[in-house]
Amino acid sequence: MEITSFHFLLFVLGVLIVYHLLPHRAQNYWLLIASYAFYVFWSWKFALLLLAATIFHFELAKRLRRDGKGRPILLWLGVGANVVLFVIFKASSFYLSRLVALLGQMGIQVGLDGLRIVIPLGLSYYVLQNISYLADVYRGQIPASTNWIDFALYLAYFPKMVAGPIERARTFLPILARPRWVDNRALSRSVILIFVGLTRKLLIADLMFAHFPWGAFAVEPEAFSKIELIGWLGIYAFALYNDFAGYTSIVRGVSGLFGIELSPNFNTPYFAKNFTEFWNRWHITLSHWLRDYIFFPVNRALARRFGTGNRWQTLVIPPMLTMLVSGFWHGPNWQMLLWGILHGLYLVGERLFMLRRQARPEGQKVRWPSWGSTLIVFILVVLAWVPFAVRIPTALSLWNQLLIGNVFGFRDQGLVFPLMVLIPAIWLDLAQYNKAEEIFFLRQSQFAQATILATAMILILVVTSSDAGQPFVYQGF
Amino acid sequence: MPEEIKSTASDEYGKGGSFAIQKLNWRVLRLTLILLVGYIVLGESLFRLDIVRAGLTGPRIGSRHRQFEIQVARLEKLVDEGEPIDCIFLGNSMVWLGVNPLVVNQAFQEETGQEIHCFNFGVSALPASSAGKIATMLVKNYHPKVLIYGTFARDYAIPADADDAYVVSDTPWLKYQNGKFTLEGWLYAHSRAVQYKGHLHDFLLNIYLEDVFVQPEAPRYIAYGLDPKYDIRLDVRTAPDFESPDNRDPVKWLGHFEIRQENLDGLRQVVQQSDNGVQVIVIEMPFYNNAYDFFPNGKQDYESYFQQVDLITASNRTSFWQLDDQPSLSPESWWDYFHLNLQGADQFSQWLGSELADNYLQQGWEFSFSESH
Amino acid sequence: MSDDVISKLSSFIASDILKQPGRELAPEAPLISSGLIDSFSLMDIALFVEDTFGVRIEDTELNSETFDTVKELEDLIESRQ
Repeated sequence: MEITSFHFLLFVLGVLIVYHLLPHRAQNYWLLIASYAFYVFWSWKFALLLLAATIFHFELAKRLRRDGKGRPILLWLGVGANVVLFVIFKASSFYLSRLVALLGQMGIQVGLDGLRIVIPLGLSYYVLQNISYLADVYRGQIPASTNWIDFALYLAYFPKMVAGPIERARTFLPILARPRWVDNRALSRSVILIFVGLTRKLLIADLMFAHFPWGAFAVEPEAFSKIELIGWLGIYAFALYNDFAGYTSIVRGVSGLFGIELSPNFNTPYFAKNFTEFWNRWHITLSHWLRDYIFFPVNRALARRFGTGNRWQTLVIPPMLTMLVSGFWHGPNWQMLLWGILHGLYLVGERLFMLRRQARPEGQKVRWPSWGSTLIVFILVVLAWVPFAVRIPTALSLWNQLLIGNVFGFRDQGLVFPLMVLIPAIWLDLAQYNKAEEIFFLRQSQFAQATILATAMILILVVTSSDAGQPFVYQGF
Repeated sequence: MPEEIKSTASDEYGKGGSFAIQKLNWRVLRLTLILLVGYIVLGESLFRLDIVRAGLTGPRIGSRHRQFEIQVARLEKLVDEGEPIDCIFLGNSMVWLGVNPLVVNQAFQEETGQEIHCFNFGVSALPASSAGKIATMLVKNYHPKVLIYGTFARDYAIPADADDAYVVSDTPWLKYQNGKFTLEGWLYAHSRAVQYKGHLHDFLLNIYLEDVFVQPEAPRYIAYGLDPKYDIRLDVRTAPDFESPDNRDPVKWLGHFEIRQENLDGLRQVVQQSDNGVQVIVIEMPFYNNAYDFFPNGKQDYESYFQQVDLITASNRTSFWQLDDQPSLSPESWWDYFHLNLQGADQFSQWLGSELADNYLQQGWEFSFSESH
Repeated sequence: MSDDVISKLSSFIASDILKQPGRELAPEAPLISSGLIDSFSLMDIALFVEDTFGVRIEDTELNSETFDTVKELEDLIESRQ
């Protein structure tokens, strides 16, 4: 069930109507049933896996502390189980062919088809939630949950199941524990979030992706001039952002209808003036998870070992390791690892730059205009998106064409329409800059609000209604 | 150690339960609704303007069979441009690939001095049961003087619930044309906004299906429904390879050949269009003689279908133009065992035009064909 | 006592983190949300607090939601001593 589909709309409406007729405790039961129904729709096998993971973590957490102290062996057991689960499913393309070859050498023939592994829905996300829960319980920051329904709902909650946001038990379980209600403000906020999300996903991202010259880009980037490459990469950057930000907005809006607020995941990231700020604006819940459970623990351990005060160990290892883990989580494949390495280098480079700047007397510091920093960060981020989009040899060729190539012309008329779509995309970001997502809309006149809603609705209807369903494929007669 | 996570509020939360909405802002909702209606009216008006439609391909009908939809769109486009439609060829892909209306016209004109404006309404995989429904629609909407159904054994083997049949017959617009009301059918038949929303959809999502757009430099016969093959897929002189994926379709339907009643009924529905003042002709579509090998009992199975068609056409006093009378076509004229390439299509169409001319002159059809501009 | 804490914190941040030993930091001035202090420096601050005041700040607390000003950090330290 795609979250932009009519079926999902009907599903949400159905769950919502029953939800608001129930008393509070029953609401959590109902949401749990609905969430598993949503999951089973994808795959009952994976639903069983989720159930098993829920039971495992619920029971393990209860035993994580004894006599006021955490038990490290159990923590590592839990973390290890999640890492293994993640690797088995997500790294299968990495190791599967090698495993088949190895088995072949041992005389065991396995057809590759039989070993194709499908990734369970939301696995990457609930694995992170599991680990954060165990770590927080281990450190005594939250007590182990004794309410199985609420805990199971924390992991299975359907609006955030597909692709986050990644919620912490510390904030989410209390929301589930207390009664919730939806007032006028929450309702209008939710509706606006859903519309903004649908606009970002369907009217910006999908349109841009539909016009993107995937074939040529992936195979022959040299065919494009520098200007064209810059244009297409800019489009790609905004399409990727709006696709994910749109999804998050929709699910936050849907969740708001249940009185459950999900964490924001994006805050106009392309306006960041430095990389630290970028990672506080892009996929925020993942960035914060990496910061809290990889960056800081590694930093702390190294600082204790080697001392504070800008040693290279604390300067280089934590950001590089954090971004490698991020790449691995997105992948795991060489392209994503390269992307992670690039961002690690950006963070290290930025830190070194800041230290040197600090070391200069006040009078000798160069004042940048802030838009200059924003532009530089944007350019570097876009360059790093290249391995996200194409394979590494093509990425190298593309970077070469961009940086060293000498073809400048603008012949690609296919760029015109996506560049036009970029205009409302940037306008939307400017309107939302440093404000809660719905404010820009509420500040408009009523007529303007109606115009925006009606225009978005009509365009969404046109874009989502194909004239027929699954097209008929003729087999040669 | 933090306290156990528990509710800090009592379980009673406001009189209205968890949905605590008070007065809604009806003004914004009303305005939105009005604007939505405004947009629909705008779309409806815009697509009724000739100048707007002139720059677009023909309207959609909301069918899963995209090629069927394209044929309707092309026909509508011709009518919109003021082209007269004198005759329509109907059939499966053997017709779709095998009849060149421009060559038919040329041949006809050579013998009679008159033009005959034909359209190739061949639809890929079309069985006879669906052909009957399409024939009803074509006659009702376009009033051709002549309806020519090019038929082959396969047309009688496909069950009505197979995708090949269902994908056409289940189209709400076609059902509406055959007298069955559905809202979707009605909308596609009457609302220009609905007919043309797909164009906006495709423009926004950069979808360009290769057959749909008649570019100025494309051959003119494409606008008249023919999408020919320009090469040879299978050398028809070699015996058929039943394992080849290229032959999957005929192996499936001819390998266990069975004539289905719903298809004979469909044929009847086609020939009964003569009750509406249409000259109906049924043609046995040509195929390369190696094709007999696909039938379990070879030519014998083929004859059984042939006899059924003969019976039905005879009982309706409909002409049935048979293979024996057709010119034989060289191996280079074939794309595969069943389909002609463009060279073969032109040859076959030459013969068709000439036959039509002979019939017109000898049988004294009581109508003349339209003058073209 | 609390003034002592605040002055120690301000002095450490100004000299060791910002490398501006003479700089006056207002107790209510935002440090993290304003971008004055980044993630690298937050750990240095956490270790300083641990070593100087014996108070541990968890990794998941090193963000502007837990403390954003010197005053808020001082409150956190006092609540854990």
